[in-house]
Amino acid sequence: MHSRGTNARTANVRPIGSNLIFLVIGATVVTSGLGAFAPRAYAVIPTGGVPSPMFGVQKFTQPMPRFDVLPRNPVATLNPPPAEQSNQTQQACDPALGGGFGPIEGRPPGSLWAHQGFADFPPQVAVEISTEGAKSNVSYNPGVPPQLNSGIDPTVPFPARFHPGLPVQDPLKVWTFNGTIPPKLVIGRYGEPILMREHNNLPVDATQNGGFGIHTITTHEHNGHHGAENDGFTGAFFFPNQFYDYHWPIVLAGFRSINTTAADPKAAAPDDAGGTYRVAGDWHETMSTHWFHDHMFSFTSQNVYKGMAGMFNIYSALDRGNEAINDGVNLRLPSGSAKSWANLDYDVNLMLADKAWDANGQLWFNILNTDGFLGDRVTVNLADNPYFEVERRKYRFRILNGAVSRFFKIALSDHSPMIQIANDGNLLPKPVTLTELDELGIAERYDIVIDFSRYQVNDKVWMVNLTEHIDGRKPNKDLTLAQALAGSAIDPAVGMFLEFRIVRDPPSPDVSLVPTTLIPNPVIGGVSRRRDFLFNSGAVATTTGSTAGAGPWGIQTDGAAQTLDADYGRISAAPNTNARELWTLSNKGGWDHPVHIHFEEGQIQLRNGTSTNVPAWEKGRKDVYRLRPAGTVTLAIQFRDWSGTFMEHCHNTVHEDNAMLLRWDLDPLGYSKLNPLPTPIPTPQGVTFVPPDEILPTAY
Amino acid sequence: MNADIFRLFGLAVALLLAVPAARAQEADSTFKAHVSGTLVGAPETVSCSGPVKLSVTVQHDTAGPTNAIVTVDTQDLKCRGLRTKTPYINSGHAILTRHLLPTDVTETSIAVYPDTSDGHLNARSALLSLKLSYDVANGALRHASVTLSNTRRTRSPDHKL
Repeated sequence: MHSRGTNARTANVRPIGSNLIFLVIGATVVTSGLGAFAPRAYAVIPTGGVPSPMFGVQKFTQPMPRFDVLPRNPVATLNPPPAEQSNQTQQACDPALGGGFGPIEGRPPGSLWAHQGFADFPPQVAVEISTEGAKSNVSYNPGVPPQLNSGIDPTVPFPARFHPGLPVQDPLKVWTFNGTIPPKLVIGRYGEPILMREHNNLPVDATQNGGFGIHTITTHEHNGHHGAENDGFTGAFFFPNQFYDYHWPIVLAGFRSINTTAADPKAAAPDDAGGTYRVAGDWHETMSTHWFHDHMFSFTSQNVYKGMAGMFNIYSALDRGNEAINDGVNLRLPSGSAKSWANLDYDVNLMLADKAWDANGQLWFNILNTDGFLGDRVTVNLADNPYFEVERRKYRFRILNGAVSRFFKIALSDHSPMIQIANDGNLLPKPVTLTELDELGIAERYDIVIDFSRYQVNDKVWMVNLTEHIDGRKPNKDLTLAQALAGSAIDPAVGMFLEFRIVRDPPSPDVSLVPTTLIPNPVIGGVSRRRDFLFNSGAVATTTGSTAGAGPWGIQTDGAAQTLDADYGRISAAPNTNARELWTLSNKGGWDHPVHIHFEEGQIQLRNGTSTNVPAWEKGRKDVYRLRPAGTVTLAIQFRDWSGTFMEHCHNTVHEDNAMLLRWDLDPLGYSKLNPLPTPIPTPQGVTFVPPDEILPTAY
Repeated sequence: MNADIFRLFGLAVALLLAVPAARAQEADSTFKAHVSGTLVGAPETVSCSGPVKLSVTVQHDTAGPTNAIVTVDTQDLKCRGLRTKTPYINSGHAILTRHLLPTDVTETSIAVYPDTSDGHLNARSALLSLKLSYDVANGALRHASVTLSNTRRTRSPDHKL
């Protein structure tokens, strides 16, 4: 055993665990001086630094770009071809990474981390991305013509900047998928497995990070129903010059036990000719709106803030992205009708993220703030306070809170109603009509429908943020719409942040629907046990080593005496496969924690002890659970189909990184008889395994 | 067979839910206020009357202002169109983060819409004006009054292109 944090490592030694914090601080001092993390003079709300300079830029003077749709390629385009087990072909390692030789794929080797179900669900589509520093986008594909993208010409190179009047971002400051903006969108459908190959083309020198972020990465498909080897486990990270093959089978949960013959017409996916094909599983588990983001241990906040976040639209027979097909199953939500499925014309992804920049207009982050980092500028799809042109008809907006620590409460500037149809990745049992959405926690997704037919051509209406922060621990208060519009908040991120310009009538009648029944909840009964997780401060470290994190935050499990710092080598829970359990998530403090449970959706049964406190918009399936100050949430959850090592954590990613995260395991389904599962220890020269540091007595 | 299984599942869930939560909030209080009001405008005036339940959860925060999470439960509010006699339903809940002060005057809004198959597509907004009295020392809600009315026109002066 050794004392954590006392052996700051040099750059050419594998940088993992809490020690990396010291490495980066050191690197930051070298490359950027103290200014990169020290509170700036005349610190102000909300960043703790000086306000971001605007270089004369005004709000609502740039169009909002649609997401950049990633190409769906034949699997045969991948070289080398993907394989069930990690490709351990050796390559020379850069001296900055310790030299010698190491595998070309960073996925841990052997059968334990082989793609589960690879033979049953062979990849049919390849999506290949490169994570790298900022550069101009010369292949932007918004998926719609310019008139549906506020006039943006995709053939014109798209520089990496937050506004045409702001500086182009330094490639060490902004790291994104493919190195470009807008953020990336993956299109997928049930029954069509995707192989997502991610190349790490970040700098080999860990000190070349622009003052924040780390060049080791692991990408979480939030909240995919995939094997753990494809979940972006925080300790399964990979290094520059390596790739990682993520196998997303895109199956309906329960496929091993429900509708196994694929006979149910609602358990289906759209084909390319207006019809459907059926798949196994429970159609009540159909998902729609995911996102994917970096999940590097202790560095998720910094890496996501740098730009490693995209979205993933999943299409099904129920939610096929074609509003005109009337087959008795298709819900015909606003989308379009030119293509058989995945029409984006009136189905718009919105990623909200607050940012801050330094005196040079370069992205800025305070790595020493463990309460939560806030920016003072609201970006939508990485564009500062943009406008978006719409027609007089219904639109679906898939709203993702892609911030580090900020909550948003959204209203329209004229108090008009919005119809919430989904919460997180899942369509609700029934639509919920609201004039003010609930506070949207970090990583939560609300899909809403806005009917712009109530406006006249040339009208404008704005999306408004009502939630004020003074720090990153929690929302300070919600303002009234009148207050928010009046600019009375001390937080500059309150107020109008997205302008809708109603520019024309639709070229054809709006035939989209918002049915009164969407997707009823699956039955979860017969729960076998309950577990309690208390999200708390004052955490202690009971383990040491490279898998252990450090920080004031932690999780107390099942009434244990101590609140523990994160350690991805510790197993805190291990439900049995096919078990159904009740989990109570509690918040002891006066701050807020949006808690994410990986892999399986849950249904909230109680909020603060009663079912009547569960609002209509939380009565569907969820994967992020806002606890609110002093709040508790009890949810029912079942574990099926896949196995391995997963996580649960606060998605205020600063809390997560410092160190409010735990690991839970699912008993392998016969792929391995090893129990408990070992912990991967990645290095550029290869991944080794060690036994778990600790297994909590209530885990099994 | 299936019905029996579901009954057993339900029993198991009920038993598990009956176990007290691991811990309680620092303070939690409720107050039921009667509200009545009308929404004027096309297609018809809507009259609303009934109870609004307010729940307050307080957590004292040594490092900042004490927050109150105010849940406004309007599920039992009854609304009816005066011309068509159509019943109207509403959003059901509004949840607000507020500072805990002896007196808090604030507003929120809910959607009100006909209880018909496509009613949710024809919603109107109603303003709820809340006046809340807290016992700050005990973190408890002592009194509340709520009024319902049309939302005010909040369009920006430059709402035209």
